[in-house]
Amino acid sequence: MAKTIMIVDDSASMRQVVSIALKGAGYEVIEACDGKDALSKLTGVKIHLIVSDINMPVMDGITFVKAVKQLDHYKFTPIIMLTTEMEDDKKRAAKEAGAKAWVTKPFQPPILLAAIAKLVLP
Amino acid sequence: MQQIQNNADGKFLYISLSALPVILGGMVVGWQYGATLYNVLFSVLLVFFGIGSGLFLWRRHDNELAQTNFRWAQDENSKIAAVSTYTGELERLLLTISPILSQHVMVSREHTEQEITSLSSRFSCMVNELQLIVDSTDNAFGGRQSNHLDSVIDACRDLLQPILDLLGQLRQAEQKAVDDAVLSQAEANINQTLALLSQVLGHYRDDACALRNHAEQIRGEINNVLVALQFQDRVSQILTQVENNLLNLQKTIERIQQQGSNRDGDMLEVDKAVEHIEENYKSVSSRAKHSPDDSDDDLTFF
Repeated sequence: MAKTIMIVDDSASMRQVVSIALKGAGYEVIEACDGKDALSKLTGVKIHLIVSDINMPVMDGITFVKAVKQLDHYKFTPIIMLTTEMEDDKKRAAKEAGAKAWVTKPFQPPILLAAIAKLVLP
Repeated sequence: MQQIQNNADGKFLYISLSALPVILGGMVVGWQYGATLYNVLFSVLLVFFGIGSGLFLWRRHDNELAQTNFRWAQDENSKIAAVSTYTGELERLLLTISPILSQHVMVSREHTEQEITSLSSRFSCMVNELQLIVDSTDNAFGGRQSNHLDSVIDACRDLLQPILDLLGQLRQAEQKAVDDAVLSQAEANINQTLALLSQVLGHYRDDACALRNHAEQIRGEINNVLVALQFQDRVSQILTQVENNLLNLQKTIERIQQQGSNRDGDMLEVDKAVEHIEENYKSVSSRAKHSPDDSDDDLTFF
């Protein structure tokens, strides 16, 4: 059975690009336009991994990660930050929030897929 | 030979007398047609001369043939004399040998008869003795010896019968075995089929490798397209930011203009506006990511 990955990004084109890369690797994809939209979709459905941007309206990525770690059903779900940010402060904040990896944009699909393969839940 | 000569003279006279009327008739006819007597006589002489020479040649050939036959007859007579001589010698030799041979044959026959007589007497004695022994043993063991032998014989027969049956089956199987030529032909056909199959599989393998290479190339091109789309998305975001900032600037200017005479230069908070633009714009460090060559920090695990 294919594994499900949630994509959280305010850019529709970016969500589409990431979706193409993941679906090509055999994953199923759930899209959300920001942190709040993503939390509304975490209603018990099995999510094997979350890929989230940082700079998003309504709820940014760091806040979203902290909120996910408060959910009993998803606190062990690995989260990968996909962002154009490279500052160490942002990386430190994401790490402290509970993220497992940091991928910078523009990303090479094989690199993202390698990170997903390493962290995705069984 | 004298007879042959007499026959030749008779034939000469016969031919001459037979030809004389013809010659005379020819002379008369020639004379009647105006030919001179001299020419006629000359013609007759030529005819007699031709006939005479032909007869001479024929007689000489005849004499030679007669001599040849005489010599052949002499040779044959000598050979017959030699054969008769050999035959006579053989007869004398046979007459000498035949009594000796007959004597030897009689001696060997007598010897053979004597041997036969002695052997038969000897075997008859042995048979009698064996019979006596068998009879005595049968009487001693109440016939069990013969029964034992019969049982042994039956056991041997039972033991050998399956072997004989198996030999018969093997012989039948051997007769029904496939001909060597058919086997070799079948083997050749199988080898040919295997060679064709391996060739086809080789072609499939090559095609699969080519397809795999093409798939890898397509995958690489798709990844490049995805990276390019990310750049395009980033540019569109920047343009959106610029557009929004320009709109905000326009609104700010309009608001200031609406103040009319009450406006002043401090109403346009440039530093604040720039700070606001910088906050919405992505970090300076992200500019480097517009270059696809910088891939050192693409992935970081926590």
